[in-house]
Amino acid sequence: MSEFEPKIVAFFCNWCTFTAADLAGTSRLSYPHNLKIIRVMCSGMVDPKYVLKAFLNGADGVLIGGCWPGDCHYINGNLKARRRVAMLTEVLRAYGIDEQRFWLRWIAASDGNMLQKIAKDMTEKLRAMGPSAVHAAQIAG
Amino acid sequence: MSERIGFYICHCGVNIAYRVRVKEVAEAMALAPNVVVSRDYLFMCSDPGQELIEKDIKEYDLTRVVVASCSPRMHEKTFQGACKRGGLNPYRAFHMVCVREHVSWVTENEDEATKKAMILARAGIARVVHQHDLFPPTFDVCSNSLIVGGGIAGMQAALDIASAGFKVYLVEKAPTIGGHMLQFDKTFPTLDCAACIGTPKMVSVGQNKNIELLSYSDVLDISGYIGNFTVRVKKRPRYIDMNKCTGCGDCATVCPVSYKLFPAGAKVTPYHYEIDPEKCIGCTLCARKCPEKAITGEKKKAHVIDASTCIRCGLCQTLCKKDAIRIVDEEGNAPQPLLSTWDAGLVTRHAANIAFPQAIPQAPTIDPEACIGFNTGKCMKCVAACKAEAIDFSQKEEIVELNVGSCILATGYNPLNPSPMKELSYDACPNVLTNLEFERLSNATGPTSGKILKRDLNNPKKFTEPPKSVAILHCIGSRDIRYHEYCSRTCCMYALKFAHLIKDKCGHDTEVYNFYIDMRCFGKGYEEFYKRVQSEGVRMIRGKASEIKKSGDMLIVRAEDTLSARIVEIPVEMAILCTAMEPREDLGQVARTFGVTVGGDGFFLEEHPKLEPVSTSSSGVFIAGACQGPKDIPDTVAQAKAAAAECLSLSACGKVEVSPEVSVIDPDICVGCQICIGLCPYGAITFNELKKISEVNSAVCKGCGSCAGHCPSGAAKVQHFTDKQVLAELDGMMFN
Repeated sequence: MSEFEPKIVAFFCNWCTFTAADLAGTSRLSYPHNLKIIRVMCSGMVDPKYVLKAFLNGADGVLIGGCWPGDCHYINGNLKARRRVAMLTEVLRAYGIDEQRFWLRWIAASDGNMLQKIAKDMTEKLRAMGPSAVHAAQIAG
Repeated sequence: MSERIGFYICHCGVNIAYRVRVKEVAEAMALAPNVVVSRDYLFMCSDPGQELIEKDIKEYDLTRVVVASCSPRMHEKTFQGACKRGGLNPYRAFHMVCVREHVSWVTENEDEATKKAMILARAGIARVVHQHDLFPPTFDVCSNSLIVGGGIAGMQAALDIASAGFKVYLVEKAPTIGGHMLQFDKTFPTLDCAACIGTPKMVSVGQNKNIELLSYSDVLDISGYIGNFTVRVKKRPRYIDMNKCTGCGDCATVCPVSYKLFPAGAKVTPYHYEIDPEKCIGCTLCARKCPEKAITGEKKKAHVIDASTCIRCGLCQTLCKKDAIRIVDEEGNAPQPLLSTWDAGLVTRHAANIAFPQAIPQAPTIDPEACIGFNTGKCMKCVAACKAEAIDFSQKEEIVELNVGSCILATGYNPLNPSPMKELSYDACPNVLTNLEFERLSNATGPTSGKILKRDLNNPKKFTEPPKSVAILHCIGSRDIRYHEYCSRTCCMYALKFAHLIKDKCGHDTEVYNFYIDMRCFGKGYEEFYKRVQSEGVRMIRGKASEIKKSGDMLIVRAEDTLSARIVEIPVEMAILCTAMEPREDLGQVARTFGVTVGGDGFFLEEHPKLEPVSTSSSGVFIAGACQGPKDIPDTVAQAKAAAAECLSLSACGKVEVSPEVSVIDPDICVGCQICIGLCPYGAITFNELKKISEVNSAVCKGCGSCAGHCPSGAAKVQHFTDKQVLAELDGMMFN
């Protein structure tokens, strides 16, 4: 398992977290290649089925990144994301997906360092957890 | 029709190519589904790069274009333009993959970076084929502009917009416009006086028929979108009828109150005056002068005040030569004195107050937390004194609604409060001053009429004689990881200005010491000014002062002189702290109201640090001046003019194209459950009773996707972020 590299799908809101990822780049803050970003306009638009689909496609982890509460570009989309994530976590259990693989984080546009830290932490955590059931099946062929 | 995709990966000079093997990516993508041409190029954003796309669209009959380069936040519009010129709908045809900020700049290993770039490129190629034609709607622009903040930035922007013939609403929180600049004495490096160059601007703002000034007012909220905002502004009552007031200031002269007697809206004051029988000599002066005859006592015996008849005017306290009268509540606490904000708290003001003689609008305010007449109907000295009969205690706050097409935030900064830095003895020593206090001290309209005088150690409100030695401490709270990492940019220069003013006003034998980390004299004429001040005999000590100690009447400033590598302790009579420029305490609230992002330093974040310095993440909202970061007057004025130009370009054009990336609800799928209506933060969704379905008003929708993320039937979706598009990108990312 030492060569296992987790696949992480990140849904980042355009205004805070995606901008933070741009800032991490501009500031040359390197982080593991495992994290791959899909841009959405707001964390509140992340449909639960995107997350489920990511896991069913073999993702080892899914990260939703939004603005800090109160800082949402669309007033409160991030709070809707938080509510949805709470319910989705219940559903994930029913699918046999460990809820520790599913993260919601607030990362401000100015906080490239936080993005780097979360990318590192999540990759390390998932490395320790090993592949998800779907990914394990994919590896086994 | 089968899809024909062109794929392009940019070298970005070496920015991408140094980590990502771009040729390898281009070769691999040539084999991806539907890709008919795959190229790498040195600079895709250059004219030849864009022409390459346009040429290929025609030559290869391309239907879609994917460019892997920098962040879409940087160049998405550039390449969409190229597709449009090539004859394709830019929203249908184009997708951008970020392989610079998200790959080459953050991945250390070349193999991993190349692999990640390929995965993201495949995801983009998978997504692009699901995109649809979209047409950005065009709206008329309301040609009025809103400016928040009437400091030098707000005033300059207002004048520029107004002189182009457009209407400006200038909202200022304080009773007068002017801002911090008008509190200053001289301005560096030219030494022209701030009032001499600032007050003509204030007068122009006050007189310009295109500028509507809303002073003593706050923005409550804003709705709408670029070109069509509705703003609600709360005008606080001044308790002065502005149509009658002549600005004579008689009310402020007769007003006896200089304490907050009615804190937090208390109608009955918790404070009362009392006479210390130990100190009172029974001179009877207070008893004779008391307008309410509330003081009784025999000659040469201690007097007493009857709290039930006393109206708390405080005349007795002002008259008493023995300092025997004090004001306290039941627990013996004194009320908060009304400190003059204009004079940086050096002196007190009255409940009826006019900030300074040149205030615009030239009208006083009455402080409802201090005024006796307002709360109890007694005193009424101002009412009697006002010949214009302008005092009106019945005024209520008023909410006005404004229609504007663009906004400028010019809300300025706060000077740091050095009280928590106990080592600098700011609270303990009256002659340790902040820079703003010194500006007022040196200003002709200040409490000493411009004489630089020390404060009496026993009575800080009293000024005595000029200091014989002064220390100026740079970088208080700036360039200090305990407070602010940033440089406040103005302190070196105003510190030199202070040094010059002290030498000029207190005599050239006055010793002036500057304790600095580095001298940053970067502007036009700044270095020359530094040399001039040095030649005037000002001592420059390279080392940040660590401590100010009291020693008798003197202050001892301790610092390391890093040029001679020794600790120095220098006795001085006055010390000036050059405090950091901080974000205003309500900046976060303003940011939320206007949907503007805040940077790591706590100031408003501009759209791009170099190329979009006055735009924000909210379209149609611009920033100018120190609310964006510390800056001096020339930079502030330049930025204000830039922000005014942004507003003018909207107003002059009269039309604005807005993003078509908004929600739509498929009428064939919607079941009319109406959940989306409750979720929409903008009230953009309404229920059509006839069709029993929900419908989106696309002019009001901003495309957040709160509805799309939740819609149980999948009828609501955000155009350009549909399920098919996002899931295709996800699939492309996972199965490669």
